[in-house]
Amino acid sequence: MKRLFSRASFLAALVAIAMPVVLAGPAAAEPTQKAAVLITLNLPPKAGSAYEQRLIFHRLEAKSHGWAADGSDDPHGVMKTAPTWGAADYSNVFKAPWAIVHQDITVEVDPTKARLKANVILTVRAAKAGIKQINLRTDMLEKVSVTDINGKALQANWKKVMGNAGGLVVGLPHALTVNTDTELVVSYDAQLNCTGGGYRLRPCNFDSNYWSVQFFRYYLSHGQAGRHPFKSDLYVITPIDRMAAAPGIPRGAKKLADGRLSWHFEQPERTENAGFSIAKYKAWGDDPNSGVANPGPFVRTYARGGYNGQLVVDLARQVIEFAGQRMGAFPWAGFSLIQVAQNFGGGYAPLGGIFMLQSVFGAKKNSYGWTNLVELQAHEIAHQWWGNYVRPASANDTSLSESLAEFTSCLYTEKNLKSRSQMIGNNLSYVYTVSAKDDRPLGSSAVHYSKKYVQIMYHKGAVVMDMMRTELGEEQWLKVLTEFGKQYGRDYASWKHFPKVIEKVTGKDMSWFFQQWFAETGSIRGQILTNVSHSSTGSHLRLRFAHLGEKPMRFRLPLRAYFSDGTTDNVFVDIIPEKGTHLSIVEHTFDKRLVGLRPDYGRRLLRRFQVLTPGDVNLNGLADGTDLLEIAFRSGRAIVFKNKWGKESFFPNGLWDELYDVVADHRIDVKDIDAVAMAIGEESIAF
Amino acid sequence: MRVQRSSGRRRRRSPADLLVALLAASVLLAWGCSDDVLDGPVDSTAQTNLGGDNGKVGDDGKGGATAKTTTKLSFDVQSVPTGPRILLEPTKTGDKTFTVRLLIVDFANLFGVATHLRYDPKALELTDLKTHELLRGPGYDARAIAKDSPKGRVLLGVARYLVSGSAFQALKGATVNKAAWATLTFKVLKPGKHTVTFDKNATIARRSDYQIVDAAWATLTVSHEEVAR
Repeated sequence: MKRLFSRASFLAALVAIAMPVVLAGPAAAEPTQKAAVLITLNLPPKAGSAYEQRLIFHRLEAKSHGWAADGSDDPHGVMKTAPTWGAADYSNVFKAPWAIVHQDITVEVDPTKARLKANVILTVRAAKAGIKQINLRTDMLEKVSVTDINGKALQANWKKVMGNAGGLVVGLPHALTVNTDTELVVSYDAQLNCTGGGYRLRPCNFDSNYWSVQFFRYYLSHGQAGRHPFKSDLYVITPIDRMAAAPGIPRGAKKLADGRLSWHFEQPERTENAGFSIAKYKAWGDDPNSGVANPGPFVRTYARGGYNGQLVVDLARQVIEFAGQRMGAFPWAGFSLIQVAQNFGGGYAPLGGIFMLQSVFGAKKNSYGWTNLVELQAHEIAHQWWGNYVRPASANDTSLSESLAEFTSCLYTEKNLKSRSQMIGNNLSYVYTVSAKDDRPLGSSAVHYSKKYVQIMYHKGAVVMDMMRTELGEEQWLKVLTEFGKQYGRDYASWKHFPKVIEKVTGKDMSWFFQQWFAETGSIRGQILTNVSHSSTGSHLRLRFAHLGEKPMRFRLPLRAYFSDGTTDNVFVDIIPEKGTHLSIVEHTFDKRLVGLRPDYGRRLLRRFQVLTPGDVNLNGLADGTDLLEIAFRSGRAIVFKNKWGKESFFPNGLWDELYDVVADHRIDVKDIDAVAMAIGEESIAF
Repeated sequence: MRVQRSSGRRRRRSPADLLVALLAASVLLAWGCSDDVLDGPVDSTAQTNLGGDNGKVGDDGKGGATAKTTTKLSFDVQSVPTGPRILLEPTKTGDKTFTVRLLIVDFANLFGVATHLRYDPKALELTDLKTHELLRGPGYDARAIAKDSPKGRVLLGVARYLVSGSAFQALKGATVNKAAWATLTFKVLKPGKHTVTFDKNATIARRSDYQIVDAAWATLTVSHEEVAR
């Protein structure tokens, strides 16, 4: 996969794991509790103790618990209005009776055995009285022990639930006090399975260069809430000659008594996404601990010797500025870009950090590798807005993360690399490689189970977002995205929220668009016929679109008009299916003599077009030499190549347009030229 | 007795013909067309006997002579001196027949060219239409089309196309100093001045980067008249 898979796979994995638990309800996820052992927790703490100081801090912090539906950062305002804790303003998300407020996580790895050891100080808080049991979701753990903050053992029962998912039930000696923080200490060992597979990113890696963990839940998740982000501090223990890198704000390293280093990463934002990597890194970019104020968010790169991390930093700053100007300011204090092993397979963007495979850090500017780096990095940085700032509320809403991140990346390459190849490649990928059998609605959780998940979620999704740009105009669409971020930043959102935001910003009802592109499958397929009449003042076009797909689709068709004086003009016509028919007829008058048309120039629509009049590929109503020229320009372009064993492979080619594939074999070549030559003189039928 | 000349026969020119031809040529030169001197003869004052040998027109075979007339087939080629241009090169081939060669001259990076060539089908009959090879080159083949459809509108086009190499590569055009694109053979159906001209609304030449070449397109006027001897 080009994107080489960012957060989607992780999200999908989480969803796949979490959904049965959430849907079945808490009881189904909980291992059977054995006889309760009442232990008195050391609460309240001794006055003036370090524990009390930390508790005070956490209590202050907890006041900002919940999500500000109005985009406000005012913690008191949030507290007054927040209806729940787990996901404060999202009514469909399960409302947890208790919350994880904070986690202090200390991890160390044994790279020779792919083992991980962790110690987690978990701060929980009850929203209602009577909570005597904490249910946590984990991955596969070993040697689990739970104590209170003073080291007193608590009753704990870890059990495998299904697949690689486990459940940890902690029995409390007495019910949690409402609105009071309680700390538990969970320690465990784990044997990691770093085998990647399918389209998923490799979950972890241990070789001589990189020791990294991305998709193992070394933190603890709320067992009763499908989504339950928390603030955290991560401490990664490394040998003296290695450096750790992780999302969040890097706070430096402390030397431990045994000579090893403990690297601290503060995550002041609530998130469940995480990961870390250990290598002989060199750091480039900003140091948030230097005391030097950054004009914008800090950008830091961790790459091994021999790689130029500065190029990655510079590019990141450009992408931040680009997206910030169009979709709202960068939401966090900053972020780190972290090089991981090549076998990782792509990029992954937790909140405040991005992991990317090794090779992209070695890209030379303006090379092919550079294009890959730009596309990947822009996609992952865009996840800071889409996926982390605005979070998908459910598995139906992954497009808010992946599709919007890919759209942002395509927009960046279109504007900065002056090429729509990325967007067009995505477009062709969906249109040509997803069969009706594998297709799923973009806005449905079923898409996660399609073998064409990437082609639908990333590729189609990005183009669908771009089609909205065509519908509304770029300026209006970007205003909508900015407003969407304002309304749903640090919150969970659904694609179903879009129509209201669009209506608020533009006054337009675009609900049909979301029904067509998010709730249903398919793309635009149709046959175009034109009648062109000329007068002394210009030309009049009648265009008939016959919908060939299962359902007629509505869309805004960009037309590039070519005139006899050599000039061009771009116009849009709205193709709106007439009720009960598969035909749409539109008319347009030009004040110059029209000599040719190119529908959907730049390929903005998910479509396959045919021309009804044989050979009239430039749609001027007559097959003539100008059509020969048009098809000759596209000859040699193919999207399907045969290898020496005869196996066909698909290659998206930005120069491809099926309008010119007259013989319809996924290649534009001499056969198509001959077909046009045979048709010379054919004129369009009147309608 | 009337004997029709075959259109392919070489006609012997009179000294007067040559004199007029020289005068016409000098006029053309003065007009600035020296760069467009064509390969074939442009016999702008060629006269053809429609009536038979020795200019005996209207001989009914009964010895009663009628008025002595002859015909004149002449060509007026409007052309341009420099720059990329499409020329029309007429050549008289018979009493009422002539060929017109379309010539592509001085194009750099030419990818293709298309046009509609117009003539009055009531005055001229297109009896033959041929296209020639051009624009081929390493990695490129070329295709030309030509069709008189409907009569009086000759649809013409020639373009090169990629046949080898990467499907993602940039295109290259051909350099054309002077090449024949098509040859049209006409028969005059009635006297008068008849134009053979490119439809400016349907002419286009493009470079390999799809940009339009600002080319000049010639016009040919064919005069066919009966004159008294």
